[in-house]
Amino acid sequence: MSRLPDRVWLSRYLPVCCLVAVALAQTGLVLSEDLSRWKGGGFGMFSTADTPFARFVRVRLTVGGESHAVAVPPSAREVAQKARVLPTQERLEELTRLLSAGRWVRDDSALLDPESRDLVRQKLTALADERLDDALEEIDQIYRQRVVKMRNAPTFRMLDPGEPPPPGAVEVHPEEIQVELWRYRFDGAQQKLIARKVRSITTAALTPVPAP
Amino acid sequence: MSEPVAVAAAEAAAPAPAAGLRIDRFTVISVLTLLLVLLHSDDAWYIRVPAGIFALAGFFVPNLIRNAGFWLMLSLLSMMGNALNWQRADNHKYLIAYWCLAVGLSMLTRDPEENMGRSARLLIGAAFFFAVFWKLVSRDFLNGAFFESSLLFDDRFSYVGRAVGGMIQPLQAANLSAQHALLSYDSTMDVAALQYSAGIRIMARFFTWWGLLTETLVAAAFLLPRGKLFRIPRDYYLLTFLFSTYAIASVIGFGWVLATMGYAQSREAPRSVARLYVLAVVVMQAYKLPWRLIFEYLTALS
Repeated sequence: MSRLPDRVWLSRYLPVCCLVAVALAQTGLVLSEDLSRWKGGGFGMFSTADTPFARFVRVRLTVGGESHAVAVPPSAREVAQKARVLPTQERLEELTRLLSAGRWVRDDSALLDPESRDLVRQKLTALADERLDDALEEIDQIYRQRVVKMRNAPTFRMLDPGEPPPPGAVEVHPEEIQVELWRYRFDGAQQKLIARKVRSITTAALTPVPAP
Repeated sequence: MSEPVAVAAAEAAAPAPAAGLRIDRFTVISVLTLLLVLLHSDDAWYIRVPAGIFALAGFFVPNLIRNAGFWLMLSLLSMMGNALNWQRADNHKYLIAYWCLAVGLSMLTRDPEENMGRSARLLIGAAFFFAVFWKLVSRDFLNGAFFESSLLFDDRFSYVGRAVGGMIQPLQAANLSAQHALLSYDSTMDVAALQYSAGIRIMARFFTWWGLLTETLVAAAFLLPRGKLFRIPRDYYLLTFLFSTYAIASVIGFGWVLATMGYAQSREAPRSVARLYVLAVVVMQAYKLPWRLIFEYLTALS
């Protein structure tokens, strides 16, 4: 390839111009759309505890008039990750649409399976046993309650695309799906993580309810 | 054959002296950059695979590394990876893309080394300028909250909290449990109480101000003309940052691209300075040792 002396300016300054342009665009998105400073090429990493991990999604499903917390299914995690990093209304709507269009089942087998249940119990008990300090009793209680909750609460999950309902699972038709985006901030003075809801969308599920 | 003739023939047949094997600066820059692309390009297979093939081709077809199109293609692949996976791409992936662009464009000029050196200096200065900007405007950096949080929850820092900050393992596990309880999909909590020692606060303050000081000095030294304020050559600021920061925050890809660009812009510096940049890349590999496990093992022994 020929060497062109008039390309000197371009070779010296174009790369840094790209860096500055992307970093300024990232700054604009941080200010206007709450983009995580850790992402987007603006070099804001290691400047805040508001990492993408500190932003989280809570999903609630209304089935038979009762509201149940559900985990974000694996097939929606990428969209959820985008909503956490750039939490615009459109991103949350996209996630809600995806969840609304999915097939949901009540599948208690995953947590009621004796092996899994015992494993969870062992892990939580081991964790709890390490806490000798009375001040940690509160956290212990939370975990003990969670074990009880896991044992008793119905478990709903969204099937992956093309996945048949597992044996014993019952297909359900949620009346409503609520998607909430939360974030916690680290409060060093109070030694607390304080979470607050950033956005929330509630929508009717799109899956057709079969005729009685 | 007489003896002198035999000796002469043997010398002629012997391998070239070591001086003949001396590697030029551009080769070092290329090797460091190609290894960087090979090991630290985007995680998505559709970027990692072609980028890996291109990088390996650069090793085996020497003419390729003198071809601008080769580097521009590597830059384009990196940029595509960043654009398609913006929600995951770390900042050093952007820097790798800009650096490949700088190498490619400099190959179009009469003095590639001079131009890629100048580009490297500006890229380092600009990256550190933005890093310092975000730290200064952040609500939870200057008060130490960011590093307190990192020392409690970030795996890369938490063992340091135990080694030096006076944290004990059960307390650290309890804080993690509290965090998980808050983040769990079925959580109804909005506050999680934490407990940590005063040592964590002291360490967090130290990391905060050390980080801000070294990054500000690097940004200023690489962007401002050398004068009264910066009599110490800029390389020493960057090398201090590289050797101190990545010992703890082991984002090796970031350290590697900085060291490579540092090497590229050190043409006028003493040779020992250039060698220190290469040493930094080597030492960073040692930083990847499982220090947390080693520390835990040594603690258990004692």
